[in-house]
Amino acid sequence: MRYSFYRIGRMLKSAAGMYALVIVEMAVGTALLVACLNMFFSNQARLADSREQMAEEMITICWSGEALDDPGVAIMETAETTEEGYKRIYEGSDAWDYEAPFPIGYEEYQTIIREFGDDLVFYYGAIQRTYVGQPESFEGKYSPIFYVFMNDELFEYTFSFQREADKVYMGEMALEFYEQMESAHPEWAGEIKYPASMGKLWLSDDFGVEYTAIPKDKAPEAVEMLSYINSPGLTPEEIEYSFVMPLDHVVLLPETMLEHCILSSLMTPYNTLLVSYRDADAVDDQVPELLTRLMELRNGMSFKIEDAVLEAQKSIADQQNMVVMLTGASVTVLLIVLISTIGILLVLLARRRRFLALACCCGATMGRCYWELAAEVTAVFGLGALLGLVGGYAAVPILQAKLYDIQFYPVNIVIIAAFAVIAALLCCAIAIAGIRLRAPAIELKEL
Amino acid sequence: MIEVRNLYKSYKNGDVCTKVLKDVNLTVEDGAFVTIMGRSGCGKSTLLNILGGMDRADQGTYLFDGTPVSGMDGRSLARFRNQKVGFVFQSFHLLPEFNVADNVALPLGYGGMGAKQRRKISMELLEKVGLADKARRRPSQLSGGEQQRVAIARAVAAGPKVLLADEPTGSLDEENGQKIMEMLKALNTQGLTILLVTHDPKVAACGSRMIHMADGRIVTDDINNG
Repeated sequence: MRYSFYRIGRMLKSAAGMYALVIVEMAVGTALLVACLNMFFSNQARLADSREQMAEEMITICWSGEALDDPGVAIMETAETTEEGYKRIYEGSDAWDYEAPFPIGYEEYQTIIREFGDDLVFYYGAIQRTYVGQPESFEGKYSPIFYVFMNDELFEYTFSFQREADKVYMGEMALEFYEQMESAHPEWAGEIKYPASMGKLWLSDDFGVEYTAIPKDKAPEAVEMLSYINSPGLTPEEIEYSFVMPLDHVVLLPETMLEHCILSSLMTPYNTLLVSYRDADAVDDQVPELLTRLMELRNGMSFKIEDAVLEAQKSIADQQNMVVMLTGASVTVLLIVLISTIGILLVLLARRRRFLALACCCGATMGRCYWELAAEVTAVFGLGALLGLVGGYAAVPILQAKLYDIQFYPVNIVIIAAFAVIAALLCCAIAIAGIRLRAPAIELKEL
Repeated sequence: MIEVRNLYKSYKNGDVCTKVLKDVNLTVEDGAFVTIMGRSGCGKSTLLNILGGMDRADQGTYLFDGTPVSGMDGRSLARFRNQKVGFVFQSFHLLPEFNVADNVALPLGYGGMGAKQRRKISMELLEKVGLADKARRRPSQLSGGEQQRVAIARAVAAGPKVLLADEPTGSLDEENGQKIMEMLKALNTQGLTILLVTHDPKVAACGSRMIHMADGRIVTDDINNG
């Protein structure tokens, strides 16, 4: 064995010029591959971290503020939410005739629940501002009333308790207003009547709902959440005039109100959809797909995700594509190394016919000769791979300074070492098959 | 020492099968100096290769010191070649990548000898053949005669029992050829069995026994009294 190593050393020395080229090529290709693998693994780690983060966080989807060819946008931008505007609309003007420009309306919500509800939890709500005539005890003025529609998930998230079925929570002023309306108009018994043009409201006992005050200590949280999901949200005073209803009850609204509710217009257009993953292990591309689907549903509108984690994920995914391309380039370089090495080996083996035959005369088996050749080529590839690993390791701080946090992954050593050995054996096998060595006796005779 | 019975050997070249050895029978005693003559293609070199374990016969038996060589596997044959046989060729066949000392030490290395011992024996042999001062040179830096002396040193380095020489003087001038033959005779005197293939009658006359081959058979086998 020691003698074989001695011979290998001599053979390496005798072909040093040719092997130097192979070593340099191998080092360059390996360094590039190691850098790419480090970037790839670092990106994978970052993706895994961001997925974990995504699984724990809530993601906000909202209208990007851009829309193409949507007439409703212009209208939306001048949506009337003031008292004057309400008077103008409901006291003489026709209902506005335009298509629902609302970014994430109730119909869209129903669609995405159906399509993504298995993977995602939606926290959806909206606020309807309206003005009602007050009973005399409220000085006959119009008073703002806010309908806050929330799905169960958003309700629980906002108030930290589960709503009971068919319970409507009201602000203190809204509750007082409701009771005063009942006492002012006993004939309405159980109903609240708004201006006649509006027709009856659903807030009647016919629908079996119960009216309960919003827990006082939960009001500030509600204010905060509502201002997040529906700009401009509600002030602490306005929440006193709010009715918090189950989302699905929106379909019970009179038709004239539906137009101006979350099914269509006059809701503030900047509502947002909060989303979280049901299963941390299943975090994948569901949210980006949701975004695409919303854009399909609201043709002409674009949506964005206000989530640093997802933005980071997208950035990582883009970087990963670049890494894959660079990896392809490095593999190409290494393939060139393999092909050139096979060529070199064919030349060397042709020169070494006599050497191999003579070695047999002196007591070597052909198997030993092939082993020595394989070890010789493995030494060449190994040296090139080692230099490449060192180069890839040295590149880590440079890449860190220019790109992002990259680590050196020790698994690269195993990958590169395995590649060097396999490549060396492959080159030898191909070269030996190509040279077609004959029996030593015949080789010596013909030499 | 060497006993060959009913040896047959043929080579295939495409569809053509050429019988190179036909029913060869031969016995060689220890210490003999046998020369083998014959035309090109009569089977001399093939016989030498089989006797040296470099080739296998198709039929027949070959015993070396009573041990059947014909049935040996690859590793056993390699050991046989390393320990029992030495080869000398017409073209010397020294390795250009190795210096003279390393060329001589080739069979010692394959025999598992350590570097120090290899160097020692190698230098001793080079001393004997008068080339100790050229131990570090490459074969290309030596003359033909010097190269053949190195080849002989290599052939006997592992202490074989038989030396197989295939036209050892074929590439040398008369003077160098004579020197080589004297060297071989000296080795034979020391007890080394030599089988030498040659075209040259003068060279053939150096042996104690002359075998003449033709068409794959031994035609004559005479003791050389000269």
